[in-house]
This record gives sequence, structure tokens and C-alpha cells, in this order.
Amino acid sequence: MNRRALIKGSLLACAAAASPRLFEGRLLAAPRQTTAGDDEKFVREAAYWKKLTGTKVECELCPRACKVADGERGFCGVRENRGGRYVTLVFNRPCSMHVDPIEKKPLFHYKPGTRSFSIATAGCNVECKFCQNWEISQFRPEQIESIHQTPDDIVEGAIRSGSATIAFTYTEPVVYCEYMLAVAERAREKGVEGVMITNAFIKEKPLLDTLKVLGAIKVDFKGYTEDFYKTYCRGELKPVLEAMKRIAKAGTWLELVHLTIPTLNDDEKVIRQLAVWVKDNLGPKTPIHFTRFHPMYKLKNLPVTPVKTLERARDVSMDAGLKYVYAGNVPGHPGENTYCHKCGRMLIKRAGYIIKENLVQNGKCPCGEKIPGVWS
Amino acid sequence: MDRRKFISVGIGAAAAGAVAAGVKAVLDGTEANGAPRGGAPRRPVVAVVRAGSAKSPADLVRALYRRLVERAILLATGASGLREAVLGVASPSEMVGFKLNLLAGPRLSPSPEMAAALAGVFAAAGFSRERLVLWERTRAELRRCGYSQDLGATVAATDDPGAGYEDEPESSGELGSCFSRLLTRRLDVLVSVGVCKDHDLSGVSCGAKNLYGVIHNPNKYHDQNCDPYIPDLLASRPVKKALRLTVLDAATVQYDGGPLYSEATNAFFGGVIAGRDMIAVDSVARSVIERLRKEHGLKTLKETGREPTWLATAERRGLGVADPARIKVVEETV
Repeated sequence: MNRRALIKGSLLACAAAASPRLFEGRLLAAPRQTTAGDDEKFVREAAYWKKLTGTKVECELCPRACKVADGERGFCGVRENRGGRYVTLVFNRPCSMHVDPIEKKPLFHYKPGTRSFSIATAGCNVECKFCQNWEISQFRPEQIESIHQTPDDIVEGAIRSGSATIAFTYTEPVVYCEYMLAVAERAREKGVEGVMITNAFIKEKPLLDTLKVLGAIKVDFKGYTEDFYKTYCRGELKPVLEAMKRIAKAGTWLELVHLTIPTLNDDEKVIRQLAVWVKDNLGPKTPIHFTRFHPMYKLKNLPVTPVKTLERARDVSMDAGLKYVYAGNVPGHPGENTYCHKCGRMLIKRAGYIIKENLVQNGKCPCGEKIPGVWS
Repeated sequence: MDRRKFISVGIGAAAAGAVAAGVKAVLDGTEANGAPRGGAPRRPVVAVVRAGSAKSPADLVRALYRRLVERAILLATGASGLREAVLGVASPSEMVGFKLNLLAGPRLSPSPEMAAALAGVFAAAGFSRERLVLWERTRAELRRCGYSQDLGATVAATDDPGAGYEDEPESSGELGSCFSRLLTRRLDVLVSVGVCKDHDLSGVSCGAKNLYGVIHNPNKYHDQNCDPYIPDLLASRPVKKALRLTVLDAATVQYDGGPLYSEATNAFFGGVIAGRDMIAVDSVARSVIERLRKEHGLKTLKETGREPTWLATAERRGLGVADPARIKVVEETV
């Protein structure tokens, strides 16, 4: 079985698990709601675009600002100009659904130890050469298996699976923001919070709308240089920094991940500059995770990140003044644990995605210090 | 438009001289396939064959297309006979894929009549219909453009069950894509069967841009007027090893408003443009588009900010000849 088949299989399995029909014992009798030959039912008018001359439109969702001629799609591959009307092709069209621990996102300071009902549609507005989910993020929606799931279906699945949150993740939620907003609004009505795992390559207006309905955001921060963003991600650094400042200013819970890739974005000097920027602009208690790279997609010629590199990045960042710095993708490493920024006591002991111990009570360390995050 | 006007405006004086020389050279058999002979610099041949009797696309029935295609292939290859010309492109033991560009729908795509005529030319040279494959990205596009009928060839789509894209991306320069398995596993020979049209990003979409349809992620490669992405694609292993011929259905030429059909900016041309050198074919097609733009009072592609700079990039990388002065344009009316 190849990776794509595995994704497809797990999607269907998870859809089954999320479906109320499973609990009624009739799953096998129900048709698979795959999208083959049925693409039109997922089309909705897109938000965030404007007309240009003739039938041309400009997307106003992300800083790329694609100018799209009739019949063409934006860079993301999931938004299309149809006769001068811009549409999304992925409304109600998840291609991936899983129930994950929230720690897998990773969000370490947001409802730890809870489940997160995690979904994605096809598409992404950047193209990282090291993308870990390229088999769904870098494909068009009609090229991969999807199922039909309304916002109500998703929320119901989340509740039935005992999830505290719905995570918009795996690919890039910005490109399916209409669907994300609809799901997140419905979820909040039912007491389930939405969380977004994003590259933060998004314009101000859609970001502000998104912040109104989400409980937390984790930003996959690529590297603290424009050159890295341009060369390895086909994106831009500056708009991402601006977006993160807006998230912090809005008070939405924010954590950062820095996938640390040997020789490409692991320079200590640059990591220190990043840490200083985070401290000055997002606050010293903003968690940041330095996670281990594994060769993938178009970057197969580099080794797995040495643990020492992650440790050094963590040390440098803490030395620069950040209080919650983690080492990721290294199960059992002490850098996975949460320590009180005041007394230094270990508060949450983790082994991979599993919480072995959690001493945080009412959002506080036993020493009485308030620990930043959302704890219940 | 008469032949003189086409030559004088479209190709330019230098190219016009080349036309005359090219006709002679081709007919004399002194040069084949644009290949160098006797130390002479490589000068690819592009055939522009038009139907003198046709007044609209409806006049281009299969039999007339057949004559156009036959002459175009003969002139483009410089062979002494049609069978020799076709066998110079492919062997009957090979699988020949005719990649169609059906994005714009039936009014601005290679017509099934032209495709059938093209397949018929190969069939007459000894190819079985099983070895001739008319293909596009999706079955829906094929249906929409009338490729459900019997056209004397197999019709296939990348989204057919059992086809799809390769599991792993293949890199070429800035490009990294999963290629259609039709190309990588089923076909030996690639013939790009496009149209002659304006494109809002790449400038023109003819033979080369058509090949965006063999990769899974074309939307990622439209920045900078598709430069260097089109050359990267042409230099990729799956394309480079298979590409042997380009044939454009130039029944109409859309000189603005592409890539979809635009009634207001579409002109009847009534012809077929063909060549072994895809960059040369596209360069000639660009000349036709630029000429029509000028005739209709439009700015050049460069002035509109979408100059197809990828043509020159492709030439610099040895993927073909873009310079009109170095292309032999062989024009004929049947």
C-alpha cells in the first residue's frame, strides 16, 4: 500500500468512525460518500475576492493575491474563476479526517490531554519542499479521494468522538476558509472550539474573521529569513510575521512550530533573531516548538535533524528570553515537558503525544504562578 | 488573409526569407527535421498549412483536416513521403499519445475531427488504433469536447481508473510534479496537440503550455509568466524522452482573452501548424497571435506584461529554437 492509499483508507475509516451510522450499526450498508464524478456539489462562491477588468478576478485571501482568468485556478488549486465569479471547490469536502490528541498539532498549552477532531481539504497556498502532507496539500481536490461532510456532520463527529476541539490542519486551512468558518461557527454553538494549524500566510481581513471563531492557532513557522520562505516554501516571511502579530494582539491562543531542517534553517544566529522577535512581538510566554525534520517530498537529500540541533535551538531561544520552548518529534526528550517559568518545576510530563503527568490546576503551577494557556 | 500578408506581417522580413528558403530546402530534401547537415546551424522547420476553401471552423471537416495534417507533417519533417514522415516520428511498435488541450471547451480546443485526421495519418502508416491514444486530464473534458465518438484511436484520461499520477514527484529545475501515468508507463511517444491562443499568464498557450496537463499541480507554475517552469517541464525526463511532434489545431486563433474562449477576440485561421521543434512551433504561433493583436489595435504581449519569456529561456537551455530568424516557416494553402 502506498502512502496515498493509506491516507485514503484512513479517511474512509475515520469517516466511518465519525459517522452516526456507525453507532447505529448500519455503516456497511451505507454508501461511501466519495466525490468521484461529483465535484459540483462542493462548489460555493468564495469569500475574499474582487473583480478586475473583464472576467478576471483577484483573490484577496492570502498575500499571493492571485489574479485569475476565467477558467483558471489560483495557486492553491482549490479556488477557481467561473465566468468572473470566484468559487471554492472544497466546501463540505474533507479529504482527511482523524481523531488526534491535541498534542499532535502540537498545541501544548491548549486543553492538554484532549482529543481533537482533525480535518483537511485538498490544497495549499505555499509549496514547502519539505511538506509532510504533500499528497493532499499539493493536489487538486478532484485528484484525491474526498467525502461529503457538512459542518453539522463534522461537529456531530467531533462530539461523538469525545473531542474538545475541531482542528483544521494537515493541509492549509486558509485555502478552505469558507468551510472552516462555517464548521467553527457551528462547533462553537455546540461547545466545541475550532483550532487552526496554519502557515499564517493570510491577509488581514480573512484573518480577523477567522480569529472571531477560533480558540487557538498554531503557526507552522518556516524560517526567519525571506530567502528561506522564497526558496523553500514559495512564500513570504513578512506577511507571516504581520499575521502572527495580529493573532497575538487579538488574544487568540498562539503557539509556533519551527521545523528545524539541517543546514537550511538551523543557524543559531538566525534562531536567536527569531526568538528575540517572538519575545518582542508575541510575548516571552508564547510557546515555540523546534521539531525534528524527516526527509520528505522534495527534500530527501538531507538527514533527520540531530537531537543536539533541537537542543541547541531550544537553549538559544530560552537564552534569548522565551519561557516555553519545546523540542518536538523526539518522544521522551525532556524538552517535550512543560516547566513553570517561575519556579522551574516540571508541570506536564509528556511522552510523545501522551501526557504522563499534569500538575497544572486552574491554570496555575503549584507554586501559584499562572501558566499561560487555555487549560480547560 | 492571403499568404503574402501573413508572411509580411506575421513572420517578419527575416522570417519571410526563411520561408522561401525553407520551402526550397524542405522540398529539395536538403534538410530534414531541422537537423544540422553539413555543419550548417540547426534550423527547425515549422509548417503552416491552411485551407483556402474554408470560411469557418464548420468547413473544416475530417477529410479537409486530413489534407492539412498530411501536408503539415510532410513539410515539418521534410520527408519525401507521408509514410516516411510518420515513421520518422514514431515506430508502429510504439505507443503514441496525442496530448490534447481541451481546457477551453469545444470552441477553442483541438477538434475531434482534427484528432481523428491525425490518428488516421498514423494509422495509414501502419499503427494499430490500440497504439494511438488521444488523451487529456479528465474524462469529463473529453466528453465535453466530443471525444466520446469513434475517432480511430483509443481515448484515455489521466483520471481513468487505473491511470492517475505517479506516487512520487519528479524534479526538473524549479518544477516538481507527479506525472500522469499515461505518459510515464503507457506511452512511448508524446505528440502535443494544442491550439493557438492567448494566455493571461504565459502569454500564449500552444504546444508547450498544453503539457501542463501532464502534471498534477499546474496551478503551482504560473508565476513569472510561467518562466522558467515551462522550460523546466520540457526538460523533465518524462517529457524529454517522449516528445517528438507538435501539432496545433489553428482553425481559429484567439489573440486575446485566453485561456478560455472569447468570441470577441477570436479569428478564423483555418489551418494547422506543426513541427518537430515545439519551441519553434510556439514561436511561430506567437507571431500569428501578435500579428492579430496588432491588427485589432491591441498592445503586444510584452506591453501587457505577459511576454512569453519562457520561449527564450527554453532556447537558451537548448530545448528548441525561439528566434524567428532561425526558424524555417513553410507555409502552404491547400
